[in-house]
Amino acid sequence: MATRPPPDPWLDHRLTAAARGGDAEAFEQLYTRYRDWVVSLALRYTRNRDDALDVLQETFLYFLRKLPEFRPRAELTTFLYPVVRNLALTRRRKRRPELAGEEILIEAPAPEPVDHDHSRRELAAVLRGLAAGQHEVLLLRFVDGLALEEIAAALAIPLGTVKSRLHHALRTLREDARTREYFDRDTGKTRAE
Amino acid sequence: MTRPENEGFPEPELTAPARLVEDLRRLHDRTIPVPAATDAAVLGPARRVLGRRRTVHRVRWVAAAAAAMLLLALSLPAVLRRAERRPAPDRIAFRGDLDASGRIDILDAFVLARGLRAGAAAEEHWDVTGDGRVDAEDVHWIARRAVRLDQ
Repeated sequence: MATRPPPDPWLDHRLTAAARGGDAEAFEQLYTRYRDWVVSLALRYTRNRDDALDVLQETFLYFLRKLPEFRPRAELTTFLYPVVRNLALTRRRKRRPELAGEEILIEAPAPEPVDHDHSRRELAAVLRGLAAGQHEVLLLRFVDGLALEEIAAALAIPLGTVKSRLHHALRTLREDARTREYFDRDTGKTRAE
Repeated sequence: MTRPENEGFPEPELTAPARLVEDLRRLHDRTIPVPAATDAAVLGPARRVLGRRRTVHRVRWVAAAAAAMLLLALSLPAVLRRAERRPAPDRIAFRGDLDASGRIDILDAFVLARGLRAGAAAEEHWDVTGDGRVDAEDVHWIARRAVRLDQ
């Protein structure tokens, strides 16, 4: 698994400032810190190994180009996420030009089709029925562990919209017979961190 | 009290059961090994670009430091000349302005400190504390006034 690296804004800020001043080792540390998360995210959207690796490469080269004027105001994830997402969806559109707009977003973050666990298969089916925006916020929150404010910054949408989408996604999972079991069994609700 | 649109969801409603979180991660949190060639394709250009940038930064720093040194070297004689000046007592508008520049600054303290160190004959207006002596206390008084923020 490749969840995002533990948040450490001070470290990111220090490394970014050093890299901006020409410190290649600082850039390498940033790359090592975020590489696995970026490639995992790229794979989620492209569903293709080679495309995911290309997206990883393009993301960090874009970051390198942006470094001179880059001033981190939040977690680096909020800068990287939209870059990875846009690059990945562009690649996917090239591969499947018949998909457009929302359609590509709905399809892109889908899980691997084969899972031998019954409840996970059911969960995957319910997720496929979620609106693209709700699905995306749900994954950013519980798979990538982004805070609500970070999600708002990464997607450039209001915090209220993030909360609304997350609320509706969870309500769908809670009310759907195929995934209700998660909520019935687990009375103590746990926040994903 | 009205709540902003869409912001009224209590935190507990935005949490998920641990098992659901675990299964979401199992479904979506997949990764692949990154080959060394991909690392090299990112880090190679980074080393080249940042190496050039570091050189430019260094050149800029050296140029800025050299300019500062030059400015200091050019202005030092004028500063020293001003510090050596002993204006007539009637030109001094207020207590502590020993060089009659119209303001109390650190150069006044410098004038007095140099005078004391050189054993120069004390002038009446050097006794800024008014205690009848001219000594380090007078230098400190001027220095404190020079760096006061409310002057």
